[in-house]
Amino acid sequence: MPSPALLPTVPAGPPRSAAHTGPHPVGWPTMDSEQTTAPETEDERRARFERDALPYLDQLYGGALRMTRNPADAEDLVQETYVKAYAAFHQYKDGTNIKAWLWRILTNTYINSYRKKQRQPKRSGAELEDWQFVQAGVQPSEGLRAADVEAMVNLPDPTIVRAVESLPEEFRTAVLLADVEGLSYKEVADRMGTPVGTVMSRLHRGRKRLRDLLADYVHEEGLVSVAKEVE
Amino acid sequence: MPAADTVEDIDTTVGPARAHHYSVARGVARATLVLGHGAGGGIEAWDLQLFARELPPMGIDVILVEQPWRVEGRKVSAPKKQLDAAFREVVSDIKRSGDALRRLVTGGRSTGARVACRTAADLDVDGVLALAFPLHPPGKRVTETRAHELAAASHACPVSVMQGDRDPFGSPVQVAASMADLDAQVLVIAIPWADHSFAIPKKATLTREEVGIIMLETARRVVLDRSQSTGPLMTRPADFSSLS
Repeated sequence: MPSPALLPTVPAGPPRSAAHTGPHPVGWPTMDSEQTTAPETEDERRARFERDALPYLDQLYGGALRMTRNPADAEDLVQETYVKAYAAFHQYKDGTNIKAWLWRILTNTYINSYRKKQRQPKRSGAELEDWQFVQAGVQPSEGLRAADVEAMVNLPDPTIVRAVESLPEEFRTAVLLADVEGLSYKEVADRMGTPVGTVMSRLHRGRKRLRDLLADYVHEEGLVSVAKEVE
Repeated sequence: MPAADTVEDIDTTVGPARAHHYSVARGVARATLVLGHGAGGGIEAWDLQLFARELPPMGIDVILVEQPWRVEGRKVSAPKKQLDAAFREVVSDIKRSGDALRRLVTGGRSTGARVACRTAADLDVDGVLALAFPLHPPGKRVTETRAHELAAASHACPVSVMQGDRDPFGSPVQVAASMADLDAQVLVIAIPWADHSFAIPKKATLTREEVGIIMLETARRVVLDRSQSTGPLMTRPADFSSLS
């Protein structure tokens, strides 16, 4: 299971230690990270993140969509924003304006990706058609059941299949669509007919449960070192 | 409207202009941003005031330049030659007076953005920040475009545009597409839900305050960004090689 659990696209991610000692990833002068209280645990931070930052996901996505004019780019932008926000979350202080903080990260991420795109060789004005195509071509739902089954077939190991099967249905569907099928949060949301925020929270809880269920399995299979790395 | 720290009248060949200084309270500013106003109003515009109020605490001196036609109380904007002349002379004066020792970025909203683009090469500025660039007259076919002014400036220095995605003078997509057509590298930031004045409709999913955060962060980034610098940040270090 990738970690942090909320953020599936960064399995390797920046090393934890770098997040603490390196320069601030979003580059503005920050509040001092000195903490007088006991340092919070990973789980506490994750819960705090889910409580404080996740509720703005749909709002950020709405803004991102209008900024990028492209659902795929908007998803990438929001997802990267949350990845960065999570990585820097130990520096965020309770009581300060988290919404403003998230918008600033999003803006910087947007500018970075814009510049990156400009540096890439041009693709002769095909971009506009691309996003129009994406917007027009919203796929008809194939039905969750079919997707479920298909995804299950792709799972490698009966132990994992059993663990996945034991998840409550809404968690299972989210995990399968996102982690096995590789759909983006927005696509999962579309398929499930729920807001993106709901998808993220279901994913988070589903993955956490899976991790707990598979802890022994990981140990037995000698995958402990890997598990340690991602924990 | 927050009071400027200093208001300075500057004589130009086309009449007296006025520079409103909003300065960094403590220490030396890391950059100076000089902004001009549009053709339909003055420096009281929401975006100009936002930057004047919020950028100095981030280490950026802001100077809002009032064109002579406004100072003289006229209702109609002067022709563009006069606008350019006044802006060019005011910014030259700012440079001479040592008010912009570090990075100097010019810009403006609407017509003021065009003025900054047209004068960028002459003034040798470190960047141009265009707010609500009037790409074409609203409601008309996009035949008469001012894209070349942005493009020309972008060959002299890094150019960034903040454009409301409901701007009838040109959408961010139109601005970006016209820059691509002209092979110009310009950073176009789409401001969600904003119109030509960066006003936000009630039905929008975000507020003007949040739009302000996006705009401030963009301005902070492009004004301070060293990676955008076309030359040395400060005066070139002395060349001691001849001494050895």
